[in-house]
Amino acid sequence: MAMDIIDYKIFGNDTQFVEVELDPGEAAVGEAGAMMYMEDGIAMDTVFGDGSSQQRGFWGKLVGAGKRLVTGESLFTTVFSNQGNGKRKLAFAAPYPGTLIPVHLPDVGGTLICQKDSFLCAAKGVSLGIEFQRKLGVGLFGGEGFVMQRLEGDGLAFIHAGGTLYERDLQPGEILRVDTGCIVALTRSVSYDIQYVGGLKSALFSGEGLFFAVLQGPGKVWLQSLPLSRMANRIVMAAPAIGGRSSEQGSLLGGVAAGGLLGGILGDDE
Amino acid sequence: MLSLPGRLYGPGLPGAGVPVEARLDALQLRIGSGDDTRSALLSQLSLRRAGFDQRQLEISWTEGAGRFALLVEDPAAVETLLTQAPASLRGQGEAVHRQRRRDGLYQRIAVSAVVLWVALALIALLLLLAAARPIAGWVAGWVPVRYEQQLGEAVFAHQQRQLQLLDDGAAQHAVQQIGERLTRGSRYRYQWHVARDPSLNAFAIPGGIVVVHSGLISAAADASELAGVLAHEVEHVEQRHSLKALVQQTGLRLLLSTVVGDVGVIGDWAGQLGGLKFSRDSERQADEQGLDRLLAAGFDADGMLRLFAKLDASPGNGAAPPGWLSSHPATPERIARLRQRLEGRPATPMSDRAPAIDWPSVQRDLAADRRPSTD
Repeated sequence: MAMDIIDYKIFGNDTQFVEVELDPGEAAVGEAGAMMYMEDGIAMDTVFGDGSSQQRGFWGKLVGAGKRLVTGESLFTTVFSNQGNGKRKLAFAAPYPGTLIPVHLPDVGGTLICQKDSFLCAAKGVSLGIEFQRKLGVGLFGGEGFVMQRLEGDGLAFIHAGGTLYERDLQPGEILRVDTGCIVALTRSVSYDIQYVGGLKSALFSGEGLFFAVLQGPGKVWLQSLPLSRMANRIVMAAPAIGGRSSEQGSLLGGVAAGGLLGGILGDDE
Repeated sequence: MLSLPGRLYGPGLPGAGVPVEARLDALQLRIGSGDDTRSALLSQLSLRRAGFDQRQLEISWTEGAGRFALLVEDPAAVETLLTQAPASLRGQGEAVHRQRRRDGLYQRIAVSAVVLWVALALIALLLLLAAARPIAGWVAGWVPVRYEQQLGEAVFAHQQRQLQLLDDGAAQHAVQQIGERLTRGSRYRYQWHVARDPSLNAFAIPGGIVVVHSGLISAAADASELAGVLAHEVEHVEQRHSLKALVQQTGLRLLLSTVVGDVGVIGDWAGQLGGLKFSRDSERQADEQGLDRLLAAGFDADGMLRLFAKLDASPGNGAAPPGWLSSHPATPERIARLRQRLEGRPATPMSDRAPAIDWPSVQRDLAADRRPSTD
């Protein structure tokens, strides 16, 4: 399927949005909920799956949608197509402070492996798949889990991540150690592994966790300076209203306090 | 000559590489054509696995100061290269092949270990669930009665704010009189209270605090009916049901959170269902032991059955939830069980009978109580 070539402009610095210009008949796919505005003449259609698989039939779509669910995206994608006569614009906004980058997929070998949830929008025809992490250790400790997102096609895709996005070329054999969780995207040619930080003191007190992610070139990698989870953690820690600490652990005693201590003769189930 | 499609990376080339078609012969690796040809001798080449999933093959060499790499992604081309490589590369090809096999083996071992671990954890969880009641009972056995009483006092102090206690009437005296006869020789120091509430209910707080709703006393036709309820509540205290439930729920949550990490909604539901099952079992036990206690104290055990029949008929008991969602067994089931248990028991001799209570005066006293009610 031929890709639609789209023109775009990115606005803002820390909380960005991208304005995309569609020629008549062109279309773009966006993550559900990412659309910010669209001009008159652009029609919105919600499709099950990733929008690239119109011809694959029901089961194909179901599998596509299931894959999207695994990567933490919505089951549905929204396709925006220009049904007017002239050029029309629409915009997609990033869901949290960070940076938006355009990736022209043919320039990176046609495939980009990126962090779950980092996809924002793309030219229609870019397919969104999943890439399973086959290394157990990397899946558990690499910071990106066992499932990553795979963008494939020959069009333009926009990905978004927290803080400042840093694009780096790795020469053949070049090694970069990265804090786990900071990897946003990489090309298929980059090896991704983990390495123990070394030494008990470092493991416990360096604040870097037990493992580094190790990226080895050749290829391109994109890193984020501030993963959303880290920012969320700091916000929760600084919020006295919710106890000023990470609230992931529910109270062990919750729900079995006074109510459970009364042994009545009749139930009070209502 | 082998033809290898791939991407070439190196100094001066784009970061994401350029697609090339490489040719490998017995002498050298050649990329491109005409003036733009790049070549490297076989002896300079090194092979290794590369890429995100380690399924690509990297052929790298040094050229001047920089290092260049050709990455072959196409699986068929990788296989061909590994099996038909020129003799000087064969050694490295076999090393890569061995690495791949070994990794596959490690992966299978790791997956099996994870599956085994999860299965073991699940089996342990099931076993513990099955034995939850005895285990909770054993743990609760270590808690001294003194702590239980302190816990009960704290709960009662909290509850008291919502209760209107009638602590100086004939009704309270009657409850106390019956209760004391039922609990002769107990290790607990009981407190008996009557709360103004028209509903047919009573509850026990750990450590021996029993509260009876005034509605229940009004509904009881004689002292033996009230005694049936009190015997049930006393058994909750004596069997330490609340404490065991607390131990069980806390233990299950701890267990679930260690096995599955986050407890989550499903875990909460499972915990609650488990708690309700525990509660129903406790109610049955309190019914049965309560009946024995009633007989031993010389009360008319039929009173318990009569009162349960009243509970069953009372309004508000109409839309009962299904059995497995309820904290108490269905009342008809409880009556049937008690009747079965009562069959064949000899009647209590006259000499052991509980002293009579002037029931009409208790009822009059409650009816005369006209203090403002919030109900």
